[in-house]
Amino acid sequence: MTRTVAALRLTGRRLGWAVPLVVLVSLAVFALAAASPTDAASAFLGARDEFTGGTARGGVEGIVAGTPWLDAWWRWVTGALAGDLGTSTTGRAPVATVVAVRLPWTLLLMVTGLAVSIAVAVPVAMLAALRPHGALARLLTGGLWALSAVPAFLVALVLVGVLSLGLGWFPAGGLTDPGAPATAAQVGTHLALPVLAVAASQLPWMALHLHRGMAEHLRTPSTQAARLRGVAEWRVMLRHVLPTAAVPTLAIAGARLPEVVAGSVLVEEIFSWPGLGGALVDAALAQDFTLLAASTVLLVLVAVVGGLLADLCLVRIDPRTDADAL
Amino acid sequence: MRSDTVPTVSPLRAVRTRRAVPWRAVAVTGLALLVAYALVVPLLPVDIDRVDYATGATRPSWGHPFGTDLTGRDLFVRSAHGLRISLLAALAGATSAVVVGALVGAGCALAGGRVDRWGMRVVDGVNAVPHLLLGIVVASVLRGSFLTIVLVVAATHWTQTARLVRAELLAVGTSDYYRAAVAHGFTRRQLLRHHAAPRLAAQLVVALGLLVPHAVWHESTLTFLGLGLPPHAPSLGVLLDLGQQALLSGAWWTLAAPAGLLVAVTVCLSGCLSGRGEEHHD
Amino acid sequence: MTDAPHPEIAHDSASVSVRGLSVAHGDAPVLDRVDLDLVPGEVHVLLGPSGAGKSTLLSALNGALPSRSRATGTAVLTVGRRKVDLLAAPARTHRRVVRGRLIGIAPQGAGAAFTPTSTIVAQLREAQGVAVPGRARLGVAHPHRASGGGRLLADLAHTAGVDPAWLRRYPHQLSGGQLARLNLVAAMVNHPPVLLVDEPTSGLDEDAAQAVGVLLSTYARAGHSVLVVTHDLALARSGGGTVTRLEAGRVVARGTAVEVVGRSAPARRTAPPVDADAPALAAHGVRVLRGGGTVLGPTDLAVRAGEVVGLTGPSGVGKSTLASVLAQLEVPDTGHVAVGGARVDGAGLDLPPAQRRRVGWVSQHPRTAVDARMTLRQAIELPARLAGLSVDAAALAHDVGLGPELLSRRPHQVSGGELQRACVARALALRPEYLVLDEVTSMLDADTAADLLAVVVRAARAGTGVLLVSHDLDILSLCDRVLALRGGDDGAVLVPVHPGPDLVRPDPAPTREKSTR
Repeated sequence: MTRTVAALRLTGRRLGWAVPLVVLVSLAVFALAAASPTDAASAFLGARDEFTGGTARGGVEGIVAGTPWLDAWWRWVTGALAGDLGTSTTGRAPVATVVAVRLPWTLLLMVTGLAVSIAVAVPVAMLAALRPHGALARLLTGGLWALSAVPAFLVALVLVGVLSLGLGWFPAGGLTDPGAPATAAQVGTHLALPVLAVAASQLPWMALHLHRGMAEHLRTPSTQAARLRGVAEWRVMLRHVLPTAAVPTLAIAGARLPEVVAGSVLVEEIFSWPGLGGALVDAALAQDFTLLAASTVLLVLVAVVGGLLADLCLVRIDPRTDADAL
Repeated sequence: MRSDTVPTVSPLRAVRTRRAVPWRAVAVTGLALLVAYALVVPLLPVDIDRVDYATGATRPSWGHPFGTDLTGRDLFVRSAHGLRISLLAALAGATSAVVVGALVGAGCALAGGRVDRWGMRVVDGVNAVPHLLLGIVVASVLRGSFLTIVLVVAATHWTQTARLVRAELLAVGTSDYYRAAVAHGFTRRQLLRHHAAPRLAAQLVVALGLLVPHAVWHESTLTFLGLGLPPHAPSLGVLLDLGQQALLSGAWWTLAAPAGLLVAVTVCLSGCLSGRGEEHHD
Repeated sequence: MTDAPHPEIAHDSASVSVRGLSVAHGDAPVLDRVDLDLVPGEVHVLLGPSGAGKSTLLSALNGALPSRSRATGTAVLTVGRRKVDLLAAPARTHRRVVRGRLIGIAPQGAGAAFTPTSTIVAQLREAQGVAVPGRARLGVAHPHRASGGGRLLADLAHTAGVDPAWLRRYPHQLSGGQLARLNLVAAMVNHPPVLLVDEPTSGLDEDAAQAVGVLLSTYARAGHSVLVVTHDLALARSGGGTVTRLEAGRVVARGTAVEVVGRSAPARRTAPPVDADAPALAAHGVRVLRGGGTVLGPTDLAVRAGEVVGLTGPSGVGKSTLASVLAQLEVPDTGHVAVGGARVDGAGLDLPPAQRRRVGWVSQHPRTAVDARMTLRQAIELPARLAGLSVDAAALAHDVGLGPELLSRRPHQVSGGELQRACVARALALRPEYLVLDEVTSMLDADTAADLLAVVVRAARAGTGVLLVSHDLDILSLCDRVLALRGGDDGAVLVPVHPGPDLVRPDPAPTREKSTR
């Protein structure tokens, strides 16, 4: 009972803490926008304004004469509270609409990717821990260690190169085939490669940490005691080794989740997945600050909520965790 | 022999280390070779921007060990340039991050109280924002220069070092060996000299070493997204970006060369440091 | 046995007879032709210094010997008309038939015997589920299976003196003494006819140790065979059955507790009385508050030059707090400390180095008390060198029983006991006027502890005042005076106890092992 209350307190505290964070992040975006040497005028002209002549530039500056950034920020905040996030120049649509359309696809990609990596990491770690000196364990840990050195976008590129361009099993990008409706089958086949890319970028740290935890807890006095009480090996694995091994992994997951968000930004960009990350990169390239602010804030919130969920899992699994200290 | 004087080094471990490949040595050698490649090859009198469509998109051969790109530029030389730029940017970024972090961390730990609380809140705040996201936002405004990369890496990664330094200093301050040293009459300066400084120095070297591959990663990622170094400075990220475009026309080696170097640098650096930073503090 | 007429008393009984058991780890022999009999109704105590092969014997009976060990001889478990040779039985038999069903095992280190992520009751129920009806138990009836598992557990808990509320808790919410009892309960859950127990009282204070002893005797009296491996002599005496002493893998003595352990009180240290006016390390009205509560009530204590004062009390009562106040590391909330009659204002770094060096302090946690990047030699020599004293680390190490080859090792390369001795050597190197030693023998076996204490006593003879914090009664019997901290609502208070009769557990008397003489 007290733990439930403590978990609720933790949730409240984290969400409350997100408010100043969002304020600061959005302020930073607007302040940077104001400090930008390539100002709103060049934003209007496009990213490669070095090719634009001075006369065109003068004309444009007259049109988009900027307001002080703090005012702009305040207008953005009041607008946001009223549901109006401004209009995106790249999307040529209200930012709220762009974001509302894209957020679900991002969440779908992240959740599926994480689920796949967990589904692979647990058995892999378990197998490697059971035979610590076996060939399989060496192969797995060595392979995972090497994989952890490969940046997410490289994994994605290799996947495209091999599975899509080489073997032609999956489409190389997009949400659906051009012009096709977004049916489950269409989205499913297009989701496969991005999900694999996200999963592959998260799998190494997850499996390696789990493996280390399991190797450590496989022979602790408490698991040994359970065995001596006659508890069957599979039960020892599931009830004694896995939960204790998951504890440090979960503790790290809270800190790693922002990286999942970042990784999905790249994956979305490479696979032209119509998510928030893709919008963010497009907005940054085109200096579309209204969209940049909104998508940054939303992705930060996703990271905060993800970290919160990881910590709640930790509180659930490990009774020693003090929710008030997280 | 007394029962508690049994050596704690298990024979099992001894067996394993005897049979194992000396990975640390392999990693150090690999890193030395990579650095030599990045430093020496760019000195060759080759114009890396010379376009020659006649030799465009040739596979790796003796003349062009890494092949050429679609416009016929030799990738062996261009990759060396790219590696040099990327390593420099990463080293500069990582060093600034470690310096800033060490100052903030030490400041928080030594000042304590309100300074510490607010300092750590700022650290938490910066940490809650995904690094790449922050990098994209910063780079969207200050685009296309070496300094941007350094700034982005430093701005997003100082927090780890700050945490580490603060935690280490606090851990030293509450550890029993520190208390014992106090009881044994160490002065503040002697405590710093004999206990705190060696421990911090070792940690900072490891932190820097771990940050460099991460910074290389950041540089190449941002550049790959079009937000980092400009196309005329052939960093690894630029080469990867070009490689991705070339991949669609089947020239896989244009991607393989920079990608291989990127992975090799990361692996060698972390290989050099593996096992460090996990010393027995308890 | 299957057709026992009275189910409520029909505990299955079984015996184990070990004949000519020899075990070698690689080339090193660990056990040499050991014979041992476990019979129903008796607590058989296996004594011996650490490293004598006690735990190996248990592993052999458990089928848990490391794969590189070779065992010869027989260990026949007889249940009813069936016999199993525990040494020859395949691992599968141990896993599926023996463990938890025929032989209950309470491993060493009760503090870590339960997995931290589930409640005690969940883990006890899990152990209970091991003996499902219908699973072959070598044909042994299980009279209790008929009733509900929960009811059974409650009964057992009651018998073991376990508060039912403990069962619903997680391991980290229980004390060492509570976990020690629960560890035994977990081994007894299925009423196995044979119970093997490894060091059930290590790290427990005397009340908890006594409770464990009673629990084991009760279990044996119900018709079970119990084997207890220990180096706690009090436990050996309370068992009442056969005592076997093992040394270097051989049985060297066997008989009743009195025959093997003896009853003789230790030779008291005949110390010249210390001059009451001698300079002293003193606490005057010292109180320590923590988090709103009082840890230490107003305390007066004086350790005079040349005497050894023992400080005892249950774990967590505030012994270490008082020790660090006296070592000038902590400022008391009220009252003050005086060294040699001069009042000390402040503590720690606020004091001049020379003042701090007057009182040596050795931490109770040797693992954290030495900087991990120093060799033992550096650790021992550095403080003295900084103090401008010449120091011979090898000689100091020799005094505390450390071989010279250990000096070039780092903390993680030596055992906890070796580190403990290095810490004492480090404190002695500064030749302090007073020494505050916090549980410095907790990781040493009896012989080594006696050697280390001899060094401390010698230092006291030379005029050092020593405060020896310990909860080991055998060690405290070497002190000139013993004080005990007793917990109270307004913080712990100090009460004097006399070494000897007053200090002892009601019965039997504390003695040192004969071998230490």
